[in-house]
Amino acid sequence: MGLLDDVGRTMLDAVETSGRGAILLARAARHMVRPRGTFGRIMEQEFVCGVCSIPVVAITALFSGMVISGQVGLALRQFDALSTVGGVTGITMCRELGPVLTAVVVAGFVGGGMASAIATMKVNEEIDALEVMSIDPVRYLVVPRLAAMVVGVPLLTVFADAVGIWGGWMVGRYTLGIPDAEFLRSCREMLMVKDVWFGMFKGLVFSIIITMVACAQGFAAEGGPEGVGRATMKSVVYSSLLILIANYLVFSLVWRPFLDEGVRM
Amino acid sequence: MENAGQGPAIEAINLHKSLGGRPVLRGVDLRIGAGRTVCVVGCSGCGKTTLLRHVCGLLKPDAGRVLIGGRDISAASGDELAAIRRNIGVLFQSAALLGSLTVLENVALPLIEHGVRPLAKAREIARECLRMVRLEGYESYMPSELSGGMRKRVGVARAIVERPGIMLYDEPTSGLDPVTGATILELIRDLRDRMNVASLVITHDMEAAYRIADGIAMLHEGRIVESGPPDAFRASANPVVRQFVEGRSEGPMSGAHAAGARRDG
Repeated sequence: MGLLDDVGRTMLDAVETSGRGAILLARAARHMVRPRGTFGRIMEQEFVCGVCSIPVVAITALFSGMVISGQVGLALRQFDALSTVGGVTGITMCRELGPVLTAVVVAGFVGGGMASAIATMKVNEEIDALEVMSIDPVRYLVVPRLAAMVVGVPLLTVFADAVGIWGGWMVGRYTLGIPDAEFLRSCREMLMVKDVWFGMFKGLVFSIIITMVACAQGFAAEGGPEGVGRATMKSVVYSSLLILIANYLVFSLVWRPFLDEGVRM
Repeated sequence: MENAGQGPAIEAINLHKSLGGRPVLRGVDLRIGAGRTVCVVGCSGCGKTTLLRHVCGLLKPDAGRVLIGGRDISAASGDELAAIRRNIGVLFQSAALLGSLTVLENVALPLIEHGVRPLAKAREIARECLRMVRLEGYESYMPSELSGGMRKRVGVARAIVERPGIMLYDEPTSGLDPVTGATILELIRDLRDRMNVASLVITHDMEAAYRIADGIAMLHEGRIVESGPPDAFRASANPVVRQFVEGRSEGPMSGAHAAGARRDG
């Protein structure tokens, strides 16, 4: 029963966080229409969430692309279908691994930092100070982060797609012995524009989840440094959980009904 | 505790508040006139900070109300709350400076966020406030590079930058050495004289209260049990006041103090 209790409690907590995140999103959305005076802070956050994440996203995508290409190649070799490795790697990266891995990395790297920064401000009374100065903490803290993330994460996703395919091509060329022209032809034939757009759309959805969960946990932090640590940990765990759940929901609600047929790249 | 012929700048009427199921305020009545400084004293956990948080609208009372210049801050929300708060400056116990901004950026923040342009004008006003608290030359320092006393002075500069009519100080001398504490007290007195602000000072430091107050009120078990000018307060025969002023461990407050110490209010 103890394990079931823990799972139940975690799920309830995740649902509560989602609810608080949704309320924050509604408040932030009002300010997103006219983000007065936040351009500088948006650029600052863009640097933190976009530029600083590039190395860690690149390493993650590179090795994921390499392992996908290697595993797919070894499996398809038995069916004499090595010529399709490029396309399968491209589709896997663009539709699934690119957006999901980027989001999970960003949830830890950026979302965790976001939650701890806001939680520290909360326990140090800085958020109270903003309120009594008549500065809306949602406009001041959440809007720049959300704006930076909804732009940054989809772009990082495309970057991860490209790096992953490049990693797959290297393994195809040097380990599996697939000629470059064959790898590229397979990519051209199987990969479609909608695969890239779909990955970016998922990046957009995940960026909203990461930001809202991180900010909601930060604002809910209580009780000094321990509270900051707890908020950071919860932010990373719940973001990752919700990303995986949302990934399936987007597949079944968007991909399957609307995108099963498309334009060839 | 107000000047004859003037309405109170701050008026708490029959304020009740419970936190975590424990009644903290049980019918607090307090009036502070323009240009007057009132110190609210009491043991840790007696509800002093809770009272201050009601006065600046960070907490809503369970019953009763707080009028700021005749406007009910407890019932206000949105733009009305923001407008009332712009007439209130708060020095938090920890100063609550934004750790990611320099001293000058911290002080100029309310002006910039409220649309004071050009930015050079906002910065010049902020520099003037820093001169008032004798911190010229520290504009580019980060809060982490300052001592506790300097941080509090920056907190005061930020609180007065919009020329409020009301100042709230939460334990302004706590954690400071006597000399630095005296500097802060001088600053509070100086601001009252120069800007004619109504000040509510939360403290448990009786020496500080005698030095700056026009009136002293004692909060005990959620109620104001004694109030009056410093001399009358010092001579009070109320056994609760006597025990607090004389700093004795034995007396009518012993039980309450032990209970209150479990949770600082």
